[in-house]
Amino acid sequence: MKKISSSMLKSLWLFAVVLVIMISSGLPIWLLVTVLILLLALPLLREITHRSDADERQIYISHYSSHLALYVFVALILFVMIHDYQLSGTQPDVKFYMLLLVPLVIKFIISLLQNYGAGTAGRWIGYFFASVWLLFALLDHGFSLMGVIQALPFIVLFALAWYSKKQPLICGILYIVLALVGLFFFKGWIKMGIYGLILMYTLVPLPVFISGTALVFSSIKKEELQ
Amino acid sequence: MRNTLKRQRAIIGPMTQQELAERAGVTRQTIIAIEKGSFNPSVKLALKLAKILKTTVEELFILESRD
Repeated sequence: MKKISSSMLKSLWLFAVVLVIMISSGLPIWLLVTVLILLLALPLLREITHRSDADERQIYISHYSSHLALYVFVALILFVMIHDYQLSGTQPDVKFYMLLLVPLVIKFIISLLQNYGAGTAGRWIGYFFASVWLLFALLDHGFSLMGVIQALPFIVLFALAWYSKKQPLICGILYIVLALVGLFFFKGWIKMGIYGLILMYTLVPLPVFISGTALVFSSIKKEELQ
Repeated sequence: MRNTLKRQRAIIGPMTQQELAERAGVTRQTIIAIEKGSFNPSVKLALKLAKILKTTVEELFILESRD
């Protein structure tokens, strides 16, 4: 009997996911979620496990198609946002910003880490997010006392990013602490819905946490090499 | 980049694309894509192919002036 290749299995898997989504209107939501989790979990597990036996062309095709699918997804979200705005005349809901920004932030962070290594990427993630949020704080309140108070954590973040070249371990740990503080800050003090919370977590504590972890990791690796 | 994979398979065996694919641990489609020049293999796979076909990477893959 002819052996079924893994790419064929993958295609059948994707087809099954599409099929389940297509017939989802007739399924109870709990059943649909369970089936989709099962269908999506196995390929995800395959991504994070060691794949030394995987065919490199298949990996390339898989990554390339996912890359294009991401841009199609972004284009679709933009289309829905614009269309809804035209119909209702109100600003798009926060969930659209979440759907749009979370995958792009993840792509940005992973690209930086892969391209420049943990140390440099950790520093630049720090610079980038500190600058963006510093700008937001200043645009929000201007050069007032409130503006300075709101900008303070990001000034600290910026200074840490600058100093991390000399002390990656200490700055990395402080980054992680700042990220955890941010986590509790957004959970406890700011009242927002789950979509807004996911968006805020992705835009502030997550990059700072990844940046800190990357700096700690690069410092440990450097020590191991010496 | 052009390659001599097809010729080398004929010299050594003849060896089929399927046999070469199995020995290199890739799919036949990957071997077809490499032979057609639509996919450039990694250094690791190029070395593996050269070893299986008892030749060198430079014999298998040749850079052209436009590369």
